[in-house]
Amino acid sequence: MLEATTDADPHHTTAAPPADAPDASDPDPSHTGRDAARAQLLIALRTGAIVTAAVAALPLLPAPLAPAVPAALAAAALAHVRCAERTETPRPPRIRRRAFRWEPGVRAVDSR
Amino acid sequence: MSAAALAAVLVALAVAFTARRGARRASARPVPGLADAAREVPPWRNAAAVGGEHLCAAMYLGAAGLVLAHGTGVLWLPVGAAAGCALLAAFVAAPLRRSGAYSVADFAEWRLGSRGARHAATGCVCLVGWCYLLPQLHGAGVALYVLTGGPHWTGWTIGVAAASVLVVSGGVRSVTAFQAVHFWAKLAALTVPVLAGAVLWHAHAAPDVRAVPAAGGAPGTAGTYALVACVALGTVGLPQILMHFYASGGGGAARRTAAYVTVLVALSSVVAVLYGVLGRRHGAAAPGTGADAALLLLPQRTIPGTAGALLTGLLAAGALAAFVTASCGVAVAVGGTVAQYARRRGAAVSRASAVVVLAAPLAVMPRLGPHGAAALVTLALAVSASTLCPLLLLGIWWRGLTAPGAVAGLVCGCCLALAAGAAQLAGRGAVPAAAAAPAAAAVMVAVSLLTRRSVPRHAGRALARLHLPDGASDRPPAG
Repeated sequence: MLEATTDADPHHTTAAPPADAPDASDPDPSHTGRDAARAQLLIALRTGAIVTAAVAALPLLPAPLAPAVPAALAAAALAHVRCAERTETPRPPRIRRRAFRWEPGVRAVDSR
Repeated sequence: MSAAALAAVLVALAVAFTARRGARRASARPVPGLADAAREVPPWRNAAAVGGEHLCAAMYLGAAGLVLAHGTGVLWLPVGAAAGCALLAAFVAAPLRRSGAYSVADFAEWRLGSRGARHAATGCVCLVGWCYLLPQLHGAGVALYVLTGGPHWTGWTIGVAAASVLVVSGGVRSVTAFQAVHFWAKLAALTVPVLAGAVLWHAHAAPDVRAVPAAGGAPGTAGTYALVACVALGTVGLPQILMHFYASGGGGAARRTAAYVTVLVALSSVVAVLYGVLGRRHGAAAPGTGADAALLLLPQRTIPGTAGALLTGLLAAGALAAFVTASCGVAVAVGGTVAQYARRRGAAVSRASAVVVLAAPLAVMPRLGPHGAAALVTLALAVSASTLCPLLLLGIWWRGLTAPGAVAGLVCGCCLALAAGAAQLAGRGAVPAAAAAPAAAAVMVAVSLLTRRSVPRHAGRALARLHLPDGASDRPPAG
């Protein structure tokens, strides 16, 4: 009836407690992760505050507006994903191009 | 119930199984960074699978039944679930996936380096799973009662037997695709009858939502806040939902999955509101267990004749599918956790454990009394909120959590949640259940501070692994 695949199979994880010796799967020791954790925590707390505010508004809203609360929660979750991904992959600094300023009497030279 | 309704049930189930086969053919690739065999599931499909867990029999009947009984002011069940998914995306999903732990018990042992913490977490997982199966059995009993008029225990037995057959035949090994397709099938089974009813209703009388009668017996403002907190925090710790993040490709994918689940749960809450509005216009409100049955019978009352019977059959088929999906998910999660204690390892042990997990609540069901699906699911979520949720949140975000602190918090949370849940079922409100979660967290923090010498030596490195972006260990250190 249902053919087996290996999705979410209750296999036994081999994830042992991180040993004292460096492990190949562990991050580099020079990465403490504190900065990353702090940045993620700030974003998570902001999302948590939005969720709390939306939930707090539930009993106060008139009945026809009640479905707006789950919609706001969904929007908050999606915004959290965008923020967290932006924090994890910071953009490289933009290189400003010098604006070309035309001056009378100067001929544009094709550098190619 | 006419033969037409039973035919509708069969057709709906056949469609669900056929669609599931199509989903299984989709390509999958191994999850990077995991030693064990597993397949990566794309975020939207994984989100639909988690949504299938959420849209269980309790949520399927409970949310719409509550709105039907009390009006649209009592949306706490779907709103709490959506809030829990948003919190899951914000605080838990990505770090948990980066830990590489399959279950909460695995995570507890990995993070705290203690077998004792693992045993305590396993006990809590079992308790949450069993409590979560109670409303599923209740839903199966109600659906079979509406379809055949037979006693509720036939529904419980047939439901457990069907889920056990699926588990033993290996069907739950493809649980993700199975649940993802079932989510959409259940949503369709919920939506089609209410849309048909709304069209007919609109043809006869213009809808006026403001004319919904005042709710009677609904929880007050404090009760609503307590229930939402219970459901939201309980959702964060549900083992059968956390299990799904293991199939995500990385921390980012797991976070995206949790966010998409919030969207799907919000979608299902809109359907609950539609049922509430439609049902109350037809005077179908009946608080308690009756609301669940009244919900299933609503299409028949709204649309007379064969069409109404067919739509009722479709709705009942959705309830049965919701029971099977959720039960399989719980059985896999709890059975997989328990099976790790067996001497022999392998799929057969997991399946046997899952069958035992499924059958255990049958002993409790006859003594449970007439409670609605929503009340029973709140009990399970209260236990999860007081035990696994603080363990996960503190384990992920606080370096100072120790194994004695975690065990003390889990034991204390279990006792408090069960006492508060019993009080809630006795009709004393949900405020004590909501207070149990912060109390358990406070015990965890206090005992951890008292035993701060036993903070694991690897705690710093474990937290770095949890919070550094995916693939950070491959990159050279900055500077």
